[in-house]
Amino acid sequence: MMVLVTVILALHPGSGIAQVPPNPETDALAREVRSKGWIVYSARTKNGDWDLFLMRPDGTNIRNITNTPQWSEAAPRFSADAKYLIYRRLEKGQIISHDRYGFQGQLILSRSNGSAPVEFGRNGEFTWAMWSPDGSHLSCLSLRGIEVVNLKTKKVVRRMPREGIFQQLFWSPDGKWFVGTANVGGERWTILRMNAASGETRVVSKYQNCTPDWFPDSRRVIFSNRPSGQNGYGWTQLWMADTETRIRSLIYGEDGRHIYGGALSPDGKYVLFTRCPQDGGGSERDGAPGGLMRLTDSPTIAGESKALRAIHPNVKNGPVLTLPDCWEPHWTFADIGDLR
Amino acid sequence: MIEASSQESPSQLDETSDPSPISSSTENGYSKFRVALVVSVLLLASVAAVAITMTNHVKGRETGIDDHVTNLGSFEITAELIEIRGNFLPNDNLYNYAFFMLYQVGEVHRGELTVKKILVAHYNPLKPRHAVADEFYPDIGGMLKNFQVGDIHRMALEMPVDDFYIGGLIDRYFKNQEIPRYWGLWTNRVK
Repeated sequence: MMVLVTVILALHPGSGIAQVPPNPETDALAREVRSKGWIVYSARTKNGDWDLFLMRPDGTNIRNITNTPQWSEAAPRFSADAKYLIYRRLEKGQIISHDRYGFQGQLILSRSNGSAPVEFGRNGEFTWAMWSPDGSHLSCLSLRGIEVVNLKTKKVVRRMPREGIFQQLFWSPDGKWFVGTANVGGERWTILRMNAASGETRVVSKYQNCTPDWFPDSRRVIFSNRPSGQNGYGWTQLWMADTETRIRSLIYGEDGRHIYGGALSPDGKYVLFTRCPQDGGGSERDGAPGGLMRLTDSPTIAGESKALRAIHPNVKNGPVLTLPDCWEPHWTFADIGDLR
Repeated sequence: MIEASSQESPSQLDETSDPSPISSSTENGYSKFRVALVVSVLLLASVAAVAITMTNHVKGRETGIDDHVTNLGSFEITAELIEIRGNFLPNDNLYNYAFFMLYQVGEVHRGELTVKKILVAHYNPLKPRHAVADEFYPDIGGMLKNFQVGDIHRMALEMPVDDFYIGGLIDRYFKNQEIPRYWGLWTNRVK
């Protein structure tokens, strides 16, 4: 019942990637996604800092797009048209907080291949910045609430109460919703959807959730969840939920690994994530191996995972492609890798 | 010369090998001045330490008074910690949170506070207050080592909590929104 895993040989500066024999299923998955755009991600380099990298979705053609030994770059995010990137730049040596990175360092705006980086704000400004669907604005989250900032003027054009949301604010592709991690009704780490116009909120998933992100349909969200009832500390799994019906379902789980960094391909057919042996996703250390699977193969459980399989007996065993060590990957179908 | 210099003290070496424009008499004057300066600084430090101790201790009693608690935030109170509902979560430097605790207000030193019971959110409550400040909340602190029901605390507070703290918040009193909620900035024990 083991999920078949193929490790991609890649000359990655920050990871020693183990080799396992190729597998037909994962090979097929690799071929299927290879030409589907690019994934941008943060990874630790040999210098000890973090840089941004691009790779093909099968883990090949890795290129460092920041190359800044004096800085660390983290949490890159393509604009919807894939012309630009935003990310946070921190002092080298500063530990990247896996769940508070949005408050750290400076917001940098660059072309999507990492060229022409511009300091958009000073340290601690434009926190948790995220693209609006048309790329003309950013949503930001701070003690002041949720602010919508005009990208050209850097002026706040709208401000609304954050309603308990305290980290990881993401704007839906249709522009109608925000989703974030919130304190709601005494429940910590709750996934909360907010109407971007009215501020009306809806709880999507309670108890020990984080890192929500939108599906392309602007209705479902993907997030990490460490359910109660596990033996001991438990393992964090990747889940999805319909924000209207609040019906939740497991995407991927693996006892022995904490699954974070959940993100969808632009067409919603593939899922990206990271598999960290320690809780937190790996930003405080060296990242964690990335994973890629088909959404149609969910729920998938990897490894022996006896306890998890007992709860979810009807799982599929789709192939999971192992990607280089990374953190907070994001995917575009645009062909941006050769622009530099 | 080489032999001698290798066995001399640095100050002697300075006198013999360094063509300093400062004469030896001037150097002696500086040395005396340095000694006097060091003695003065030590004396001042001792006086300051005694003053702080006297401020924080009256007849052997810890008053909880210091420069931080008397100046930080909009409120300063002395209150008894009367309930810690449930257990704290780990403070393992992975997840950070604030935790509401119930207090019986004894004395209000600064700010308008008329109710008798309040909730105070303390950041990462398993950490001693002197070690709780971090890059996100650098101004939090105090002399309290741990939170125990029945202890009296002198605290500098702020409200509303959402204006001062954005992070995981354990609120086991959420069904009772009548109790005012404060953000704990500085916490000293009173004995």
